[in-house]
Amino acid sequence: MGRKLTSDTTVNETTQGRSRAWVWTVLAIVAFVLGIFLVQSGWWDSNHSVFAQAVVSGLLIGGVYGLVAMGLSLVFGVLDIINFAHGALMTIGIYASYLLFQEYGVDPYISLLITVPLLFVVGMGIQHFAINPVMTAPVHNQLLLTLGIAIMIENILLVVFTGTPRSIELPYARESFDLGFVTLDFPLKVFGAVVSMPKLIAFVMAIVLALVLYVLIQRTWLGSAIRASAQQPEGAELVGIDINRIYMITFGIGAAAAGAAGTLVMPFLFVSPTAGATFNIIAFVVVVLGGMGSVPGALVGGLIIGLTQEMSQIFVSGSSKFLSVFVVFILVLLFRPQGIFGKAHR
Amino acid sequence: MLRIENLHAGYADLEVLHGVDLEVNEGEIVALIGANGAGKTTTLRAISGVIPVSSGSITFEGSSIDSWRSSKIVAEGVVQVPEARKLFADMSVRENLRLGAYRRGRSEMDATFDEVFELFPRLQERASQIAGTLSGGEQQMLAIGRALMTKPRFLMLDEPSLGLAPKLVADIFDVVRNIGKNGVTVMLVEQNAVRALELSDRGYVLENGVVALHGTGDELLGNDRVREAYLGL
Ligand SMILES: Nc1ncnc2c1ncn2[C@@H]1O[C@H](COP(=O)(O)OP(=O)(O)OP(=O)(O)O)[C@@H](O)[C@H]1O
Ligand SMILES: [Mg+2]
Repeated sequence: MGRKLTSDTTVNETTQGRSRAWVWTVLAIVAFVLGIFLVQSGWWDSNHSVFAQAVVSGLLIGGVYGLVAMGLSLVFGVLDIINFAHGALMTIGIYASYLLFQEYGVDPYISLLITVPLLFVVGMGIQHFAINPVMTAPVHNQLLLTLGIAIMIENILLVVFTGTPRSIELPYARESFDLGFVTLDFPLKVFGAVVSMPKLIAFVMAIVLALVLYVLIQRTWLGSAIRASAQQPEGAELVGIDINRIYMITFGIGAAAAGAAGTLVMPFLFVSPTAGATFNIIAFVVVVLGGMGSVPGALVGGLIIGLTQEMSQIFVSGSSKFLSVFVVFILVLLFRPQGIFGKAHR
Repeated sequence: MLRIENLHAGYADLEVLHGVDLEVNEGEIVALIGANGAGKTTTLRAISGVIPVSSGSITFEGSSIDSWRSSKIVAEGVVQVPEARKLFADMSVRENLRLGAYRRGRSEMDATFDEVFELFPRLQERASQIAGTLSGGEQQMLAIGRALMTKPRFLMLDEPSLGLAPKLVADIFDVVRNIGKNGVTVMLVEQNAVRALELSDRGYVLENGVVALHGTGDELLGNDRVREAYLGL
């Protein structure tokens, strides 16, 4: 019987592998033909800087999407909660760094030292006081709760700061930086694409924070306990892990990632009470694309969605940025419902 | 060491235990036997604090532990090897064992590692293998090893021989006997009632959520009702 089981799985895997190879082959052929066509028709010559701009912008914002999605994915993977308040937590990060900059002149990137711990504590509080009591409740109740928290946060921000969009100008956004071997003259020009400094910093910091988060989860004692609680909650309890504490910390980390992302985008965004909501929607798509609960998947998914969003603007000008994102979303659900890094449920 | 009085517990609106009384003295091996669904696993889960106690009391060395969090109960040395093993299936054997020592920190971990590997050399050979890919017997060894990593003073084993080949069943019973010899108090839940009672100092028979009988291992082995209902003799 053991033998039969093994051979069955093998067959299963090869068929799956074959159908995947088939999809990739078709996609590669389509991309190739499209490429030839675009070059032949002269489209490439007149548009390559637009193209470069889309790639650069897509990757830059994609890094931020990745960070936002990592927090969402972590919370989902460990607590089994789909957190609709994730974007609102990000908005708190946006306003916190905005206030620190406007009122106290704190550099937005320095303010990470405040916004990250702040959101960590806010996240722990939300988990402890609001979500913990519904951990075993039906999913729709949990959804309503996190949605309610999001609406509450947005409306408090609306009352306190009004809906007027605000923005800041980073004082050093247009300066040159001499790194010794090269001078960076902002805004940078790369292959004809313009790279603004706040977007570049946001990207670099988002990637760094994403890696820190990854190492925290994969390589530390705490991360080990977090993964154990995700995989086997009762087993975790039986080795003495205080699972409620782990849930609080995990939600705190998720919120901190959202807060950090909020702080990073604040310098190039219109600050408003719903600024984070857009990111929340995109992060959901990224999480599904990367594989529910997969932290590295969230980062890769973020980059892909960032690219998709910007590239589609070239081909379908004037379309909503979301259109292409949701097309990708549907394709993923059709061809690889478990996401890029997710494990198939068998 | 452990005293349970009039314990009521269960799931949602289903009460499974209707007033269980039992006691385990330090250094004993005590068997808990009973038909499928009698409430053996539920008793262990209530002791570990995984499910809430609705009424009655559980005291361990004089402190009332029935409202404690499971993590605190484990810290006190009350540990179980659960029926379904509940391993961290995507992690390596080594990481599962390390998590067993979660509460004790890294410094004392190495010595316990050696003890566990001495008991189960197979686990050492497979230290880097992913737990979910181990054979059933190896998984049971890992579940016991992980529990031992917590340095228990009171260890509950829920059907450790379940699904194992006869040779391995004998090995597991030897391991349980050894754990007892090393000064750990043991509560053993088993379907393999003859073996369990032979090994144990005393035994309890659970029927429909209450203790129907108790006595020394030999008494129960000689009891007609037990022989008929549980030993198939
Ligand atoms: N999670 C649960 N939710 C609802 N009912 C449960 C749950 N777990 C067990 N039960 C019920 O509680 C009763 C006692 O189950 P328990 O697992 O304690 O029996 P057991 O004595 O360990 O049996 P076995 O020898 O088959 O392991 C059973 O009727 C079972 O259906
Ligand atoms: Mg059972």
